[in-house]
Amino acid sequence: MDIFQLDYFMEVFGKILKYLPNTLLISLYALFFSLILGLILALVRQYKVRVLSQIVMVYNSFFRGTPFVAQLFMFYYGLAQFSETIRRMSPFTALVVVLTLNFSAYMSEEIRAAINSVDKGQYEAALSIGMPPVRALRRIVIPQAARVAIPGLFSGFINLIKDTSVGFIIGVKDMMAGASIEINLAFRYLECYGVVLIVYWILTTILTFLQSRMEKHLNRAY
Amino acid sequence: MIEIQNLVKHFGTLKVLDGISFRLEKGQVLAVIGPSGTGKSTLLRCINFLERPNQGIIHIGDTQVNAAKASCKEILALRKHTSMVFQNYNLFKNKTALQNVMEPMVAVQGMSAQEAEKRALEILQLIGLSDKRDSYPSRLSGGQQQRVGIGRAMAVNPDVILFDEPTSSLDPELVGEVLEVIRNLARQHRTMIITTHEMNFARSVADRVIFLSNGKIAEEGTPEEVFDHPQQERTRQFLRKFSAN
Repeated sequence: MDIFQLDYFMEVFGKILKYLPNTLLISLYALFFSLILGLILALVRQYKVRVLSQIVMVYNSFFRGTPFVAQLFMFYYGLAQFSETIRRMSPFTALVVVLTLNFSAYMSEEIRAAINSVDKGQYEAALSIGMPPVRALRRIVIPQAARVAIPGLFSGFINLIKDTSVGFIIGVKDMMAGASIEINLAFRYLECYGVVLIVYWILTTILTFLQSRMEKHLNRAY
Repeated sequence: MIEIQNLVKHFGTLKVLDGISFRLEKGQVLAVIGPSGTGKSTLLRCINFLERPNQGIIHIGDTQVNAAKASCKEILALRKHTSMVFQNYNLFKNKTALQNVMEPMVAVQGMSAQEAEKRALEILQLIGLSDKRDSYPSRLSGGQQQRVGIGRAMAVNPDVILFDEPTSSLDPELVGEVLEVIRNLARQHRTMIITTHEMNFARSVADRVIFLSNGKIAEEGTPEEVFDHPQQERTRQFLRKFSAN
């Protein structure tokens, strides 16, 4: 038996690649929800909303300070004992939920740091000419904060994509699951995991390239 | 016309403004002088509610606001009557000189972009910065930034412009160009309240002068009255420090 069969590698490449859309879909859902939740958490912390602000602090500390796999298992197997909703949840949904909970903690810290980096005088200047507070945030503060936040959020997104691979342990049909199915048929670990790694690598390389392009664009603006 | 009655502001237990009242007619320039930390900036920031006063009544044009129970709507209405020039300029960093001047007209007054640009170009000409229209604040000198700041404050055509130590962050050689722009506004009879450490400027540009000390108005009058014939010992002491230099 050859150590590495190129023919088999090419054949299995197409099969595993079919699971890529699922990986992307999970990533995009989780990105979307964790951005929204992250922004809300950031604003709660930034404007020191009573009680909630302390809860968010603990939340962020917990989700940033514990392993993602353990969080996923706790949710999908642990909490499922008490919750009918979680028992009925598909692995896909459960993964999106836990990814969202986890990454919103990271995103909220990025967003908050970015809002903090905008000089308070910018907001005051906008108020002083008669802008309502929300408009001042939208037109002046958030565009300046976004420029600071985008590189960090983008790195977060790349980590998120990689973390989706953990989902196959609870039965999500992603590329890792695709590779496992093929391995069970032919026992060719090297080719199958090789495909997974290469696809992830290409994907994150493209995103990193886009990120550096975007950062150049953002740095040029003013 | 602008009228302030019994304005009070605490920061914690510290009473920064202790019952300030004054009245300013349309077209007049009021200079507020006094030692550092005596509440000059806080007074201006209370007038447009960047700091919320604890009590007092602020009356500008047709808007009257009772500070103790001001609603968001009232505060917004008040701010539309005023504009502010900041000590450290606070130009919108993500906008060019032209866009900075246009911003109040577009985002507050709802003017079309075309009309706002036309007006903004006129204002840039007035402050002598037509050639800097497309420069971002980071590319402008302090004096140029502050002139754009004044241009932005003029753009809303406010009932009163509040100048919070407009030349304090400037290198000495840049002070003149900014004062000249303010002098021009005074000649056009814009209503202005200016806090400043430039005594000669205050004397020459102001119609009325207030000397603020420990959160109270210690002395008030025309420039001649306050600068040449101060009645209070504290005013004399303060002014002596300036003539000594």
